Amino acid sequence: MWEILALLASAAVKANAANEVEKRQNDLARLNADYSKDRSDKALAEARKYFDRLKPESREAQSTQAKAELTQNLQDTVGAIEKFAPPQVTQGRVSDAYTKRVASGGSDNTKRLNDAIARLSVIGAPAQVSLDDQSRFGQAALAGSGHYDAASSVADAYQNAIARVRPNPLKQMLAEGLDAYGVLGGNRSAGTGIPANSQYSLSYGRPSSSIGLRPRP
Amino acid sequence: MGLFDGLADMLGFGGGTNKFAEQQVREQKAEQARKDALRYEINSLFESGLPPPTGYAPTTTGTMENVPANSRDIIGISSPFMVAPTNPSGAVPISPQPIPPPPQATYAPGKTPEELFRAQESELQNALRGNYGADLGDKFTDASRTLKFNAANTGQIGGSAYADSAAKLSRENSLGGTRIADAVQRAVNGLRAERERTRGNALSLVNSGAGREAVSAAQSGIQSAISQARAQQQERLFDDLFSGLALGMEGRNAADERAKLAALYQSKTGSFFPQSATNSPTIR
Repeated sequence: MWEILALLASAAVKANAANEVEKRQNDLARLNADYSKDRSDKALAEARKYFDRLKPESREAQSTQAKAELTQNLQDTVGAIEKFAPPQVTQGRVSDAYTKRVASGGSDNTKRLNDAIARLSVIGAPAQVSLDDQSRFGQAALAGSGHYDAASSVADAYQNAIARVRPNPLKQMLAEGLDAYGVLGGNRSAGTGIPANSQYSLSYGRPSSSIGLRPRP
Repeated sequence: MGLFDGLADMLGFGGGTNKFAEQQVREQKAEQARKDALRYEINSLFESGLPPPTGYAPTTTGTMENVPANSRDIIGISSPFMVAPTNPSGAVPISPQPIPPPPQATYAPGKTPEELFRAQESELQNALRGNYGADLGDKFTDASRTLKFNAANTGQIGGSAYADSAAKLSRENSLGGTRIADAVQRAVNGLRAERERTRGNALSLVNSGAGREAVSAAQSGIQSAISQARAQQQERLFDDLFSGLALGMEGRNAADERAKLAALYQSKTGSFFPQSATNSPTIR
């Protein structure tokens, strides 16, 4: 009677230990998933930040800003140059026709220059936007790769931890003790001569003639 | 159950999970936290107002309750983004150390990165404008003098051809300014690209496991980027400028014609018109 109870208790302890192992593995897997998801969310946020810059309205704003920056640079530079090179003045009396020609030439120059500045700003803006785009892309890619590397390295460590989860050794020992008692208890009381220090276990399949188990090869 | 776990812990058996493996998880998280802190430090050298790396918040609720007591130390580091020293025993949760405040570039005290870069770019722009401007100014002065003398030689001072040529000269000078602006923009873009390259290299170093030397590399990279931009060889922008002025060409043609005429007189009338040494006829 006690032997059967011991075997039942052993089975319960083993099941409990196995449950614990499974639960611990599940807990670790969930922690791993949480960490990976957190990192993956962060990487996605970085990518989204970059994608937002590719939206048409954002593109338009970037292009406008680049044009404004180029126009400012051109105007500043040309303004500084014109200060150093004032228009030529002809000494002495000149004809009205000449004066008119000089004035029309000057206004023509201003118009042409403004047109050139406007054109150059439009021509140069895409390159400016593209340069900015490349650097943003690089930043997003590096940030994303950092997060994915982190998730991958930590996942490896978790996988290792999950693979190495083992049952509680005390419970294992208890279960084996109960097994031994359950298997050997009756035989010993009958005086079969089996040494008291022998290790017997159902899981090992060691012989026990009284209950008819096969000997281990 | 608690008794078993406690006893197992006391005897050093562990409570079901390999202690070494758990320690590895903790160390790996701490390593990633260290990298995050370094990436933040590097990015802060290039941009201000970046949010510090946020803590690791488990997405499932009740994690602490569901995890066996002896594996709490795995999630005991509530923020893996904080640099946490490893604890060899692994049993006691480790108190994380806070991330240091964003670094201040030692060569630009009290300045945000944007202010520093704007100042650098502005300095570079002004220097290049000054250099190219002086070059253009010299060429303009020469061309202007040539135009004036040629106009005088051909008797066109005060004439419409002279007015047109002077206007064209002035226009070419201003358009020369746009070439300068273009060259300046190229130089600034080069500086920005170099800076981004520095940042990318430093972040790649961190991603591949480097330590604080990556931050130092980024700091010195920012300085070498501006030095490199300053040392960049000046472009030749104005070689073809002012070459197509009609009156200038006309004046040159007239001067050539006069020289030819003088040579003709010389050959026909002996030494009445003395010639320069370079134009002297070959002695036969």
